[in-house]
Amino acid sequence: MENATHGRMRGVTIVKPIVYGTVARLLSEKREDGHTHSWTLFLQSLEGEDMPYIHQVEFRLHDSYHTPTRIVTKPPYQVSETGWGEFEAGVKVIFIDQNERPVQFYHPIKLFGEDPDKVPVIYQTYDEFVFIDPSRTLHRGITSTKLTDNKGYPLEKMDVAAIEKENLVRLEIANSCIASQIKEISKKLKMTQRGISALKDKLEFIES
Amino acid sequence: MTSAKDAQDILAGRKGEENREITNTSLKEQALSHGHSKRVKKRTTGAALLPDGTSREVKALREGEGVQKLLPDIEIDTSLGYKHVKAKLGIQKVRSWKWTPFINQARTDNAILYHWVRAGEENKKYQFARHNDRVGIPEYTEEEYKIYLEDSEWSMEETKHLLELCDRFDLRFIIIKDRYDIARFPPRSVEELKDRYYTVCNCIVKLRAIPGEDLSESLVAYDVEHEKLRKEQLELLFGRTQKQIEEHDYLVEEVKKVEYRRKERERIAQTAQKLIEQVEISDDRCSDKNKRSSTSKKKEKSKKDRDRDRDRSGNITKHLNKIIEERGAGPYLRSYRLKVPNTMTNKRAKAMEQLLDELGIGTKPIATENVTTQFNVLRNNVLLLLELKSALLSAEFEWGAIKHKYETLPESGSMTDVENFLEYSMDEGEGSGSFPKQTSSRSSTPTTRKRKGTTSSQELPKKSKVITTTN
Repeated sequence: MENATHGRMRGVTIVKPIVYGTVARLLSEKREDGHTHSWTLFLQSLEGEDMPYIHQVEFRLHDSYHTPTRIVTKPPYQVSETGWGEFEAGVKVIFIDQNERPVQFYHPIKLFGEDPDKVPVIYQTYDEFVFIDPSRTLHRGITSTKLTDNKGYPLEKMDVAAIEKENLVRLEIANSCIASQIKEISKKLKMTQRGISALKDKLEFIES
Repeated sequence: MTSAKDAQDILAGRKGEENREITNTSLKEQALSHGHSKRVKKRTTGAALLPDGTSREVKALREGEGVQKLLPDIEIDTSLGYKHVKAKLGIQKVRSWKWTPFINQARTDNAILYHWVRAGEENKKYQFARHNDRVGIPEYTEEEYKIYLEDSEWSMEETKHLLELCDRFDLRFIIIKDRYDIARFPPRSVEELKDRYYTVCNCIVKLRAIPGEDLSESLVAYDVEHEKLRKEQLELLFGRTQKQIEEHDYLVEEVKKVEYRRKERERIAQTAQKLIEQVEISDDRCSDKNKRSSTSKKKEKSKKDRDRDRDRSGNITKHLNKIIEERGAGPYLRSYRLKVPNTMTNKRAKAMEQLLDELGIGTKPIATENVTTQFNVLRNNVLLLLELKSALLSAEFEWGAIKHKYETLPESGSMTDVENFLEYSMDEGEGSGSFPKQTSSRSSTPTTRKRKGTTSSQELPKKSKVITTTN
């Protein structure tokens, strides 16, 4: 199964569930620089594992921040800041094998929740690292994870299985809805085409 | 200054030669003296470009460095140098010319004219007389005319008059028409004059021809009707008002647009055919897929993941759909699969997003493997639906257009007939089985067309009879 070609573990795919997001709190009073909230942008393993396969995480904040690129080389991979506005923060994960391409994504910094009584405002996203044919170095990192007693984030537990199930149900419904529409429209299309070609023939017949 | 420069040039030239030798001997040394040798080479090539005899000032302009170098190097064909540096003016005595009288042989009036001629050539014939070509006007006897050239429109006198004028004015028909003796003969148009003249010519040529001779070159083809029409059209074209010209241009543009739209519709109609086939394929695939996913669940997770991905990409590339997933080795985020591919047009992406919103799915479901897979199945179906919708729209448009054409035909029946006819043809279509299996292969579009064409043309006479009887 494992071929040593190019130092990759051929045929190996490992999935690591993660969660990233923001936690925001209103400051007790407005600061002089206009900042109203304190927030934290974090990246974490879903199951509370450590992530020894990560070399560093770069958080790219809004350009108005002093040193907008924050590089975090040790867990916890998070940035805490204060601010007054929401924006899309960039996150770049560089793995221990730096020949592997980094993973990049954007996540919004949410300061204002839909329910104003709910504090803190938590906005987190479930995702998965998928490692296809990882290099040996990276593979070592991925397979040496262990549970930590880090009780930090996510603050709100995510019942991934339940959400997935709910999502799948909705997708199923949507798909069947689309499928029936496809059937209906393709039938209509077929009929119209038949009509056109038949009438065309008839026209040709009349003209000749 | 110039002498110093000259010396430098000479030295530089020598150095250039030396450098060339060095480059042949060792690469290392070349690397060391690279900058210098480059400069020198430029110099030598610059000099080589200039033809011999170029003044030093010009050379300096061409060979200077930086700001000094004002003229760019342009390839010059050096084989074409100046043959003589300076023009060599003759030192012989100038030959004399004489003001002499001469007679132009082309003239019939023996008028004496004068011109300058080289001394000793006074008695030469006037050389331009030979350019006075005459048109060979056909000649005929009275008997010949009576036998061959008799024409109800033209009298013998008038024909004679025409030929005289042709001879006199060298076939300049506009002048001939102007000088035509309308006191004796009826007024004629240029076309009539030409027609008569060429008829006579051709007749005489045929008459005088040696049997078996190829006459195709000596005969003149003149089509009066065509010429008249041509001139009339030119007259009309010339006489257009500005408004008419604008209208014409506008119409030409409109025709182009209509043509473009028609082609666009045809293209969509063709893809529509493919889309319908695709619907049928994906129907088959759905049942297939269900079986497959149930079996693959038993396998270990990592393998399943790979299998599924490979399976998906393999299946989808066969289709017209846009979302194709191909992931090479390396890490990625599952949510990458939820992105809209860059290859998709903005318009299409928007439409897809809107539909997904309407379905309550949104663009970001939870990024688990199953959900992303199902999400992409859904998105591909949504894309298919969108394609189908636009195909249907254009088909309906075409149907409207063809219906209108049918209604405006005088021989056609009323629209109720058309509706009946449509239902009839559709029943036929449904009755004959909705697209047999063989048509769902990829290259089937023309065959289905043909099939349809033949069947309906067989049915047609029957049906049209029915319609004519109802009228």
